[in-house]
Amino acid sequence: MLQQAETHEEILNKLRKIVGNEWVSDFPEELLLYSYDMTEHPPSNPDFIVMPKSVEEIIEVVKLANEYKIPIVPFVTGNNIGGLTIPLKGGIVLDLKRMDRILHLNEDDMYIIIEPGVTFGHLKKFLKDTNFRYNYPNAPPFASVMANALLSGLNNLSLRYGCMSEVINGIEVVLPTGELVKIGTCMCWDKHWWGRGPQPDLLGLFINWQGMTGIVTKMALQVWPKKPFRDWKFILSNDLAKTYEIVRKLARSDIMNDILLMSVETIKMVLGIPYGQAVHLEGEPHWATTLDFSANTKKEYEAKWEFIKDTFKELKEVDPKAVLSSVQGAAKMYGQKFAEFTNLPFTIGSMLEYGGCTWVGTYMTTNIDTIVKGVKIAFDIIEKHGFEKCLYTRMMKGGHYFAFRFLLRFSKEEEEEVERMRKLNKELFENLYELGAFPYKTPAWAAEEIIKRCDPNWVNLMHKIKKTLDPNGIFNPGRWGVE
Amino acid sequence: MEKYEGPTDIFGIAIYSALTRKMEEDPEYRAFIENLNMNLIVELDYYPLMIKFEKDKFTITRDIEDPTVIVKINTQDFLDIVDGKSSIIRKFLGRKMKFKKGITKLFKVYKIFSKMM
Ligand SMILES: Cc1cc2nc3c(=O)[nH]c(=O)nc-3n(C[C@H](O)[C@H](O)[C@H](O)COP(=O)(O)OP(=O)(O)OC[C@H]3O[C@@H](n4cnc5c(N)ncnc54)[C@H](O)[C@@H]3O)c2cc1C
Repeated sequence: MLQQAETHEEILNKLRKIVGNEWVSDFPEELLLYSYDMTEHPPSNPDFIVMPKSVEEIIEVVKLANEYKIPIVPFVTGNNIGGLTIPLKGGIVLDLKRMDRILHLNEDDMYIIIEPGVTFGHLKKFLKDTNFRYNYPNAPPFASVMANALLSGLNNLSLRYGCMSEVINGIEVVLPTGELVKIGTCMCWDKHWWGRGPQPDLLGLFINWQGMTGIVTKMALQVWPKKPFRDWKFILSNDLAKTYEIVRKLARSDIMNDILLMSVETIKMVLGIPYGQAVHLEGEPHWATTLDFSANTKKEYEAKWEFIKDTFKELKEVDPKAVLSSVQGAAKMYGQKFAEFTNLPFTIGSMLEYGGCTWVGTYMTTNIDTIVKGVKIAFDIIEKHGFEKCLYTRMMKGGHYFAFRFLLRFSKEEEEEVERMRKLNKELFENLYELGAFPYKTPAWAAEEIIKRCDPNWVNLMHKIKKTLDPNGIFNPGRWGVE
Repeated sequence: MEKYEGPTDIFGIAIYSALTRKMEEDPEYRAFIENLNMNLIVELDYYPLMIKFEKDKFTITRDIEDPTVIVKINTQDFLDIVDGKSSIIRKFLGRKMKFKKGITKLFKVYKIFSKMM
């Protein structure tokens, strides 16, 4: 407990006054729910859960937190898989789910303005009857669109547009000291959120900071025109280097929406094979690649498809058993679960069924030798610790960088297993970092490891910025080595 | 959590899922499958699989025993059929799908796969 009982009651009453009785809780059962997530990170209890409905309420809560110097952790659904909403130092978990409006779709400049609680499910439904599409993750439909963008997520148009923070046009944000600031062209005009503009770009003060520097209350995000033709193919293969080589070639061709290169174990997990049984069996293909592309005309579609087939032939020469087929065809056999690859977002059910789910997800170089080496090293480590080798990678931004990650499920019932997973993640981090792989949605422990290894002047600057914005150190403390 | 009793290899899962689904959807197909009594080996170029049809049930395994029928087909040709780019008949006539044993069961094999896909 952070405060004396009297102070606790005092804060509780003040919070109730701000947001209303029913939107504040300090019930132990409810605090417990916010104390942990699906990952191996140790739990830590908050003191209060607060669910504001408006920007004004957030500002009042922030002022109160400054007065009592209690931490605030912004939260939407806690599905970040990095332990990022676990309140390391207690305090207030500010659950933003009630702020869930899609405020505007600008069809001229192709963006939406949303509140933090808008989920992928909401957005998909909203865009269904429009001419626009968004960029979805393989995450559950109930996760936050805004948090995904703030964390530089990797979604199914990220091969075209880069990670999700790159498609933010602007934000409205409550600073740790309670001021409300607009960033992007919206700083000049309330009705123009079309871009970050040519002014100094302050957005970086809030991206990937995990709620340490501000609570974003509105965000403009790009959307893109739907294309009349869209198709998904898949490849099964054995030769990793050659498969990766054609993946890179296709990524650089500028014709693809998305390319995922996965291990066959990942496909098995997606298909619902129970925990512990998603392993590679002798004789099976090792790698599964999904290819997503779209076109404005039939002719354009056919030309793209021809290019894909020609590129595949290069793989076939080296890996004669490699096959190229359609995701829709495979879905006829495997059923709806496989078809979900064409219909993001979706919940990989069998991934979350066992209580534990984690990853070391990284962004890294696209260098072929490095990737092949990375897979080998990581597979050895995962095997050593007795988990499933579910590799799940994505080419990013026209092939400028690569998302290299594993989806690791585990059982949370056994502390020994949780501990083994911690060790595994640490080893993965250490080995992949050596290869130039940077963990995204960086867990606190990984951030501390990075800080030990990276440019100390970067660390100093980061601390200075944090101190300037958050003099009382109340916003999500304990992250990035900042107490 | 539902108990999973099917195969765990990538092609076995495909055939198991499709067969199970089709049997649920189509009672006539279910009756047909449940009355088959044979060991059908599908020799893909990755690895062979056995679909063991017994009274009222079928299982898929990678342990091959007492084959009644052996069908050899490349995975790509198999997937072309699934994709609708080709058909069982065309693959058979073009010698891309060969019966190494049990050709007399040709029509049964045809019915198993054509309905399943
Ligand atoms: C099975 C599974 C698969 C996934 N696959 C993908 C994937 O393919 N690609 C991908 O990118 N992600 C993926 N994710 C991660 C996740 O879906 C996204 O990161 C998600 O959108 C985050 O939303 P959330 O509601 O979980 O955010 P939370 O976990 O609640 O918050 C995330 C972080 O953002 C901060 N935050 C939240 N709201 C605000 C705000 N308004 N202002 C400031 N800070 C804020 C929080 O403090 C925290 O640090 C996956 C998750 C799961 C469970």
